[in-house]
Formats: sequence, C-alpha cells, structure tokens
Amino acid sequence: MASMKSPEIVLSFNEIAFYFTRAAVGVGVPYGLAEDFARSSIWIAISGIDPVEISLPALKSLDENYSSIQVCQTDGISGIVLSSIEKKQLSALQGGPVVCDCISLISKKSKEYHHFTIKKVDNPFLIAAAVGSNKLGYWQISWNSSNGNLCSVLTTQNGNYKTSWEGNNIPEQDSPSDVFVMSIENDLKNDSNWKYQKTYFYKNRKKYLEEGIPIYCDWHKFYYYFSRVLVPSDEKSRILGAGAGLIDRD
Amino acid sequence: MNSVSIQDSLTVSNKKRPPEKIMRLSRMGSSFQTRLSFSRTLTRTISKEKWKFDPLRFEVNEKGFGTSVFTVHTLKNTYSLVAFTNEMAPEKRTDRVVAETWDATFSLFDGIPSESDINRLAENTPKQEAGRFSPKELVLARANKSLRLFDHVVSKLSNGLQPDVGLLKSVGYLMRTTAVYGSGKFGCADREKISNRSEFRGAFQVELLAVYLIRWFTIKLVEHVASCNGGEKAVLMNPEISKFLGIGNATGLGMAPFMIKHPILINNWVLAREEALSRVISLKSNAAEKLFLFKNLLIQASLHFNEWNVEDKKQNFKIKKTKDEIKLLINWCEIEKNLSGSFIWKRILNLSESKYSLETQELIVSLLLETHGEMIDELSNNMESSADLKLDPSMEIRELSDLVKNSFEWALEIDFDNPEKQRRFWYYSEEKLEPRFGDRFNDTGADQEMPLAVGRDVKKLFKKIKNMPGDISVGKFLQLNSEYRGIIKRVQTVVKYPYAEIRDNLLDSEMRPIDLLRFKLSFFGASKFDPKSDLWTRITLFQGAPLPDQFTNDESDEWPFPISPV
Repeated sequence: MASMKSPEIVLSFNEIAFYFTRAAVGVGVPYGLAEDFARSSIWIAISGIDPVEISLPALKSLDENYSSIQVCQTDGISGIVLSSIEKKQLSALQGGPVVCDCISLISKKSKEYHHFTIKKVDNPFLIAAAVGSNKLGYWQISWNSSNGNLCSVLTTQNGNYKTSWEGNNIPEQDSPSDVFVMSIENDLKNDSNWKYQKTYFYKNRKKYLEEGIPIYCDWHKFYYYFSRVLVPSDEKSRILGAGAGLIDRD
Repeated sequence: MNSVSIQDSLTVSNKKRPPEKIMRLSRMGSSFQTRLSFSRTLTRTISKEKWKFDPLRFEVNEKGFGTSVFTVHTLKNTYSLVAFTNEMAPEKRTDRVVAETWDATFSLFDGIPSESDINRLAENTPKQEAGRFSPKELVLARANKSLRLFDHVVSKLSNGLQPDVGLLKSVGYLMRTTAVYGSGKFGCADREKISNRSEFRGAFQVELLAVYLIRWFTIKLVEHVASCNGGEKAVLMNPEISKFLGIGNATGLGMAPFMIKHPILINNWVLAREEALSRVISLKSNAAEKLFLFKNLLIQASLHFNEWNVEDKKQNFKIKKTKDEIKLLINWCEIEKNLSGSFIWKRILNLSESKYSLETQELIVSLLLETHGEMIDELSNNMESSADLKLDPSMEIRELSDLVKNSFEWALEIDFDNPEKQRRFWYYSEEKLEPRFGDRFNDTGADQEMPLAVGRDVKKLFKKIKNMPGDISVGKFLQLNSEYRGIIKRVQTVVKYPYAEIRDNLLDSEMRPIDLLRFKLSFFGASKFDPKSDLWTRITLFQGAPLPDQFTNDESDEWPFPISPV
C-alpha cells in the first residue's frame, strides 16, 4: 500500500483546491468544472486515499485526448443514459458533475427510484467522489473493475460512504467502464454488502486538518499539469508585470 | 445603546447605500479604515479579553540577528510568533514576491513550539514560499527593514536620545511586511482548523495577530540593538513614540484574485459597514457628546492628513482635496443652526455626497461609524464567511437570463468588442507564482489568464442563452456547454448578495488594480496608503495602536487617524 512510504508532499485542503483546479485547467477543463473536480479530490483525500493517485489517470486521459467532456443525455425506460458525444471515453471530471446535476434535477421532481447509466467512464471512482462530495444522500455507484469484479460505493449522509471492497486500495481500472448510479431504498441502506468500510467524513476531515493530506506518488507529474497555467517569465514581465521595483531601499 | 437609538436603528436600518453606488472601483479606491476593520476588531478583543503577551525567547545578537519566540495567551489558546532575523545585502531588499531573502521571516505557531519545531521552522521559514509547513503553523510572513528609520532609531536610542519625530512621520514603521500568508498556504493550517475558536471568529484575525506581534517584535528588536550598541548610555523608546510606530506592508496584485474569488465574503464585509452606516444615519436625535466627538475626530483626521505625505501625484491631489474639504466641514460644524434639528448624521453624509470628493465621502463614513461604536461593533462578528458558490441545475434558462438582465446590467452595457475594454489580464508567473498584470495584445500569457473577467463572462453567457428555448434547465445546458459552469454558479449565487460583485470592468485598459488593493486594505485597517504605481502600494497597519503593555480599559480602541507625538 502506498501509504507505507513517506509522502512526497503534504498539502492543505486549500492547496488541494488550488492545485487540483488548475491541474484540470491545464488539461483543458474549464474553471467551473475544474473547481468541482478539486472538491471531489478533497473528498477523496479525506477518505485516506491519495487524490493524485486517483486523479492523475483521468487528467492524462483528457490530455491525451482519449476522454471527452462533451456529454449527451438520453432518457430510456430503465433511466437516464449519459455518454460522450464523441467516440471517446467520457471524462469523469465531467461525468461526475453532470450526474450530480441530474440527481438534483430529478430529486426536485420526485422521490421515486432513479437509475442512471454513464457510459464508458474513464475513472469510475471519480463519479462516486462527485456524488459523495456534493452530499446528495443515499446513492449506489457501481462498475466493473478490470478483472470483472463488481465494485460499489454507497454514499450516505453528510458525505460519508461505504464500499464493497476492503481497505483503501480501489480495485484496478485500466480501461473505461459503464457506471451505474441508483437511488437506494431505505431497507437497503444497511445491507451487509456494505460491511467493509465506512468513512466518517467529518471525523476524517478534522484529522486531516490537523495533519495535512499526504501525497505519496507522482506529485511531479501532477504538478506538470498544474504548471501549464503558469506564464513563463521574461525580462519585460519581470520588470513591469507586478508594478513594483526589483530593489526597494528606504 | 439608549432606547432612542435602538428604536431609530430598527426602523430605518434597511436604508443602505446601494451597491451600484458602493461597488465601483473609483469609490472602492477611496476607502478608509473604520472601527469594523479587522485590526480594530483585534485590538478590541485583546483589550476586552486581556490577552497576555510574553517574549518567551529572544536569542538575538548585537546586530539583531537570531531566533525569537513571542507568545500570546488568549482566553483559551496560546500562539507563538517564531521570528528569524539575519543579515542581508541591501540590493537584495525588494517588496516583490520574487524576493529570495528578507531581513526577518516569521511563522505564527499554534501553541508553544518545541525545540524540534523551532529547528524545523529554522530550516523552512527563512525560505518562505520555497519552504514547507505543517498545520501547526497558522501564518507565514516576512518583513524588510526601513533601513533609514531602523538605523536612525538604533543610533538615537544607543546615544540616549529619542528618534526624530519628523523622520518617524515620514516612514511610520521600522519594518514592512511584504507578504502575510494564511489559510493553508505552503502547507500551513487551513482556516477551517481555527475557525471555531472565539478569538478568530472575525475575518483575518489570525493574520492580523501575526502582524500585530511582528510590530511588537520590531520595537523590541530595535531597542535590543540600540542597547547592545550603546551599553549604559542606551535608552528605551518613549512609549508614545513606540505606540506611533506601526508596521508597514507592501501589497501587490495578489489581493485582486482573492477578492474576485470570494464574492460572498466581500459582500459580508461591505454589508456590515453599510448596515453600520445605515444605523448611524437613521438616528433622529443626537447626543451632544457624540457631536463633540465627531468634531474632534474631524480635527484629528485633518492633522493625520497633514502627516500623510506620498510621492504619488494622484494620491497627493486626493489628500490635498480632502484636507480642504475637511476644513469646509469643520467650518460647517461651527455654525450652530447646521447642527440643530434632527437626523444630523444623515445630513452630514448628504452634504458630503453633494459637495465633496469620493475620498472625503468615505472618510466621513469612517468618522460617522467611529462615533457610534456601541451600536455597530457587534457587526464585526458577521464579516466572515466560508460559503461557496453553488449551482442550481434545475433553474430554467429563462430564469437565468432574467437574473443576468436584472443584476448584471452594468456588465451587459460594456462593449467588449472594443479592444480597450479587455486589454488587461491577470496571470500567475512561473517565477514563484507571482501574480502579474498583462496587456492582452502585447504580452504573452493571455491564454492562461486567471478567471477574473466576471463582466465579460456574464456578457458572453447572456449572448449564448438569450435566444435559447427558455424551458431548458441549466443542468441540461451545461452538458454541452461546460465552459459556462463557473459563471452560472456565480450568477446564481451572487444575486442573493448585493455587495458581492465589483460593478466595473476589471479588464479595461484604464483599470487601476490599486483601487482594489485600497478597498481590501481598508477593511484590514490600513492607513497612509502610499501608492508606488497603479499595481502596488505601501501602507501602515496598527499605527497608534497600543502595544501589548499599553492597553488600558478606556483607550484601547481610540487609535484611528494617529498623529505623531509632540
């Protein structure tokens, strides 16, 4: 497990928000959407999972043009289907916020059972993170891992969640997967399928406020995407861009 | 508060100055500190709660270089300013973010640091942005000496003399901070960690506590160096002189992105001030002692302005004009019939708005609040917010369009097809992430501009949606138009907060970032604004405020518009 190593860097929540927003912008994601991604990343970090490890493949996929943020919605008998309008994977950076928007929309209209399918998502756990960080209540988010196992996350109240797997290591995902998002009936909330983990969002949040969020791997790769929002400095901008002198004696 | 003023304030407290008048750059750039400013709130709390200060460690050599720990005990918690001072070459001294060395560097530590903590900070604090910190640290800051004043004070004190008041007036501080970082910067604690502590309930209290401690430290430092140089001849500074010394600050472009990014917070600051003003001007009757106080404050402000000397021509012109207008108002107040009758405060405000410059108008606002602390000071508790922008995906495009039309008329009126209306842009330089200001048509980097162009983005959004079917939901619209997610969130949120948005074009070729800086700094409690360009200003904080051993029950809050000791 990565957390046995020393962290490469320990970040504050504010730094997660700052760097993750801009790393997403660095791969072409608009600011408003990138801010939602950063919020999801904080939720991931509070769970004790390295947010760089989770989000780097999603950023890479966008950067290499395998994923798209253009979404098409179709309403079928078995629920709403969201998919990329291009022949690409759907970026979870867009899929997550869009499914949250859909949940907010239908929740206002009815309290009935709801089901969404998000096709070919590049990073399914980020969909769960979006639902969890938006504190939308009880939703089951499921997908098949690369080895065919069904992975499920149950978001509960106040950003808490349970998983169908043990520990903090999310089952490997090296190809896109369809993600199913379902509202959960009351009687299923305590189902024994969710025995493995319960993350106490507020309790963990306090812990990480005291300790910071450790990043164990690939910080320099992540920072590379972030650094794309920075503008190279030249002599002119160095002298004139900040409006102040380079030597101040008084 | 007496019963009359309670009744008065309740009946007309909704008569606030409108945002279209207040949230304009020209007026924002004329702002003054008020008793709701954060430094004022801090000194009131220190005095009320009788915080204890303790220079726990002062291992500094005869040149003033070494390590110090200055501690403050609040009612429930202890905080320590850990300071590192060292020698630096004069040519390395710069106010800019791109600096790499400073006369003094500081961390505000949560508690009392252990030896191991101090060793860790000794490795990191002097590196500032290049160091890494932990949530035990609440604030990171640095400061450079005003060499001419520091050396002068050392020389005088070491020879048994007091410093020259004329020189003190012209500078106002021994050191100038060039950055004060809080809230999670470089690994420091997020604000959330301390937001429930009663001493930090108000806005920016922890940052200003650090600044207040730095000011105290600079005075101890200069006295120490003088003592080492002069031996038995040396004297301490006269308390009235040390009280007159504030702490300088140099501020650049970094404040602008903060203000745009936190519209609800900015709303709360302004709303508190405007609510305070509305309470004062709605008073029908006025007590004689309040009028006496107000007239004295006018004279005090006038004397303060006489000592506010800057090189900047525009600011000098404004200072001169305000001095003239204060004299006119003092004369007006001498005419007895002007002061008789009801609603005197409202009439004074009206007079200033009809006759005087923006700078004088805002000064009058500050003075009106100054005289009514008992009915407004509690508003400082409402000036913090951690609320974020929130999207409502269920809103129909029709409603969104109406929101834009009704609340962003100022933005829709701007012709962004005119290149001069979007010539400017803000960006982060790769050089230490220094915020810089560029010319879109002549400089590189516009592709990486910070998302501060609210007016332009609102207008672009309106253009996109105005001819769309009105019954489409925002959520559906965003599926194919995700580039509008940020601005829609903003529009939907800020319409509930009247003072959240700056109602001017921040990209205009004529735009002066200094107006934003002055606005924000006035809420911090800054005085003696000393613009060095349109992008950068120096200011003084805590000038005239009691030092830790100078708090008395009746004078702790009476330090606005300080004047030099005779």
